[in-house]
Amino acid sequence: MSKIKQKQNTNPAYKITVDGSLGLLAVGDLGFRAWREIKNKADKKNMIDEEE
Amino acid sequence: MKKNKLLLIGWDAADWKLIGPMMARGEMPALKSVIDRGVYGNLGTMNPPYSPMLWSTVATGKTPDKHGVLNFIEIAPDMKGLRPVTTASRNARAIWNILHNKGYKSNVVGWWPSFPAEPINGVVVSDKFQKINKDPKKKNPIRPKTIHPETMVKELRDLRMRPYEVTQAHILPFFPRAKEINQEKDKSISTFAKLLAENVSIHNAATNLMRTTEWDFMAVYYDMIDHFCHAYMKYHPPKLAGVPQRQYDLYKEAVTGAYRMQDMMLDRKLQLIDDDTTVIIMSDHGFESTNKRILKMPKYPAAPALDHRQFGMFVAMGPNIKKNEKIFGLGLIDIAPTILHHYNLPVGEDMDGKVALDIFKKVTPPKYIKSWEDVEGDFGEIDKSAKLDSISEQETMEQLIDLGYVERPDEKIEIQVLKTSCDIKHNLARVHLGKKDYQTAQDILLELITEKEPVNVIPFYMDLLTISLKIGAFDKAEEYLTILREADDEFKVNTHFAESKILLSKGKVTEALDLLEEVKKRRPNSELWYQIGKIHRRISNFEKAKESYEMAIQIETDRAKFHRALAEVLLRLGDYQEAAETALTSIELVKYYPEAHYTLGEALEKLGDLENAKIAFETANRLKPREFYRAEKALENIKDKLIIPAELRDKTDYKYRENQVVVVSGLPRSGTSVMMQMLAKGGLTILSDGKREADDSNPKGYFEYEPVMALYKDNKWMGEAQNKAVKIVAPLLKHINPKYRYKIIFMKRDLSEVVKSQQKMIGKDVNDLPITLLNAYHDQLNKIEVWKEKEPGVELIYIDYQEVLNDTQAIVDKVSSFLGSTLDHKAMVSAVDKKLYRNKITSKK
Repeated sequence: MSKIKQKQNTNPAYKITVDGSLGLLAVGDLGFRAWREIKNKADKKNMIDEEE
Repeated sequence: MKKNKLLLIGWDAADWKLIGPMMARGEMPALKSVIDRGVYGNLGTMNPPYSPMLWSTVATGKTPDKHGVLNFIEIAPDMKGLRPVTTASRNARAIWNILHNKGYKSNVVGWWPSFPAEPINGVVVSDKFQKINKDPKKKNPIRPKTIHPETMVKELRDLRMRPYEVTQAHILPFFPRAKEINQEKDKSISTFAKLLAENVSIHNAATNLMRTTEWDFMAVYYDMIDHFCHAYMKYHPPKLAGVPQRQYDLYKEAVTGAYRMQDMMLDRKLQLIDDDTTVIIMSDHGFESTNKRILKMPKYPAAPALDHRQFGMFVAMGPNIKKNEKIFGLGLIDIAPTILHHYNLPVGEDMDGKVALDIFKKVTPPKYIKSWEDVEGDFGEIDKSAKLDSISEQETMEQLIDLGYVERPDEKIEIQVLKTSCDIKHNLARVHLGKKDYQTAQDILLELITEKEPVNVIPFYMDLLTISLKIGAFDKAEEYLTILREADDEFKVNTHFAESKILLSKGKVTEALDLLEEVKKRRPNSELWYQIGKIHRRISNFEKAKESYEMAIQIETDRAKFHRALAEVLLRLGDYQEAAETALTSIELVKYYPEAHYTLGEALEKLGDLENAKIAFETANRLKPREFYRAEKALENIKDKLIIPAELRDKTDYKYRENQVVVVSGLPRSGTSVMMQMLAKGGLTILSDGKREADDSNPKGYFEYEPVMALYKDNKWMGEAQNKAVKIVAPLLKHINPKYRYKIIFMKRDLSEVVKSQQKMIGKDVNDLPITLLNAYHDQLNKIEVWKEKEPGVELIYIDYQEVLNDTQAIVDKVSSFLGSTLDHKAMVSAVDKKLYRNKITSKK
């Protein structure tokens, strides 16, 4: 039985910066949300609310 | 976990010409890992190469005249507005509709077009999802029907990236000198931000669905490479003469940046699948990256597609996909049938593509259904009568306008609708032109040229000119050419191919050639060399034609028609082997190319390989949409040749050649040893080492010489055979040393007798005749017949074994005359032991 090869970033030293990176965008939804959370905290602005 | 899943990834405009060097530099490791585990190859596109039409063809397996998506924009049903093309234009069922009907779950993300989202079993994130207003002050609610089911909106809505969220960390890998760009004047960064954000949004939705939903089929479409190429390819290395150095330095890494980003995204998706999932990565067309790039795009709708190349890319891996193998002749129209076959579902007979069986490890015969369109039931389709917005789709329209695909709608809505209606009809005509249905295409175009201002009728005349040239209506072609040249001076300089063809139709060959030679001096290109080659071919100047075609191939290596033309000329020059190989190269590029199969058939026939020639002619005949009379006749001839023994002709001047090498040849058990005995008795020295001793099959000895067995790797010893006789079995004849002159006595015998004798010799049942062996021997004889004609140092006569026994004296006279040397005729006659032969026949019975 094969297993899904989900490779989450488990490196505790990996730090998401406000500026983000292409690598983080390439991770997809998880990377994007993690980055946006950091960014929004810094901006003190919630992008999701804007859409409501 | 479900088995047999398939992930289809669309990379619009991805091209091997960029990917190859990038993979070699280690810049696309994810794609390379897929290729290492699967198959890869070119993917032929269709004309006109407009993305919404092509991706709808990928989804349906049908040409645009059948699936109905014919433009970037469509007219709203109330005829009062325009909108980006929608699912409503599609008249054919897509893969996911069929899978829905059969109970499979599909996720479709960003497909062009896929709005309004179809209510299938699974999730559709339509191509409207990623469209965000560039203005940060404007809100971007997700409109109804953007996502199916609506319940998924909540999960996905925060995954849209805004262009204004793009940071310098995202920009610098694409534009390392971005700080030098004046963003007030230069909108490049703004364009980049929009393109990156949209593709990230698609990727976010795709990865989310891959992680959180159960699915059997998943299709994700990215336009990043195509849109980056349209925006920045002119700055891609090598620098074009017309590009300012500063612009080149600022933007030269943008295109490769897009490929790298796409590869990083692929890497992530590969992490999210299991080993049982099949992956297909493909593009709908390539993108010109050589010196043929167009710096100044003509101003007509969809002109940017002029940069699209004929071949896209195809890569696949999975449990039933071959490994690390190149696949030839695929077209994007084959994708849907191949995917249906993957799910063991029947392919619609009304689909234009074929199942790409070559990619599968374990091949099962495809199943067919008359048409999926006739099947009743739930296919998860939209209600086409439902009202949709028209020109309010401003964001999408803006992008198409920015890319140059659509004119800015600054006119009255009636005029916009009229122009769009003409564009759609024109595209339909071009689809028929691409399918070589010239009559239908012409009918549509003749209607279109009756349109008045503000409709621009010039493009319609251009296609009418093309059709007239194709069908040989040269008077009409001249008429259209005159109209075009009167309408625009530009046509005085860029219609030389048309002019040369018209000149040729009037028999003015020299003028046509001079015209093209003159243009070649100014603007040499592959097509020009090809057309020049065609003229040389027409006047039977084969060497010049060959040179011209070779030049065309040197400039552009992957054009099937260049290789086909070269193969045909090589045939006329008698280089059959090279002709066959060149025709095969052409077929490797485009499998559905009947003329190339025909040329291959001709070459193989000349080489004496009748069985394979038959297959090539049959393929040519099958692929031609209408009758292919030449292939039909050639096939009849081949069938005759396969039934009737080849006509074997002697080639000799019956003259003694100084230091000649006498060779006795033939198939094993065709009487070669008898002939060797006759020559030995007649006084000719035999080159034999006597290592193989006489036995029951050859009581008087074999007269063999061991080095002959290794002739294919060493023929230097053949000087030893001068003025002697040596026995060489037929398949080895082609390896003889061309340094010497040969007199070959080729023994022929009824092939069934030959095979029976061989069967007896190896202790097998003489009544059990292996047909494949018989056919192979038949081919062998044909090959000898062709080979001897092209070898200047070879003279050859055929000697019938039966006649050796029945009319020995006549045979001795013929052989002696052929060799031109004094032999003892009486002794030669006495060497034939008729009794021995008859005993053998009796014992066989």
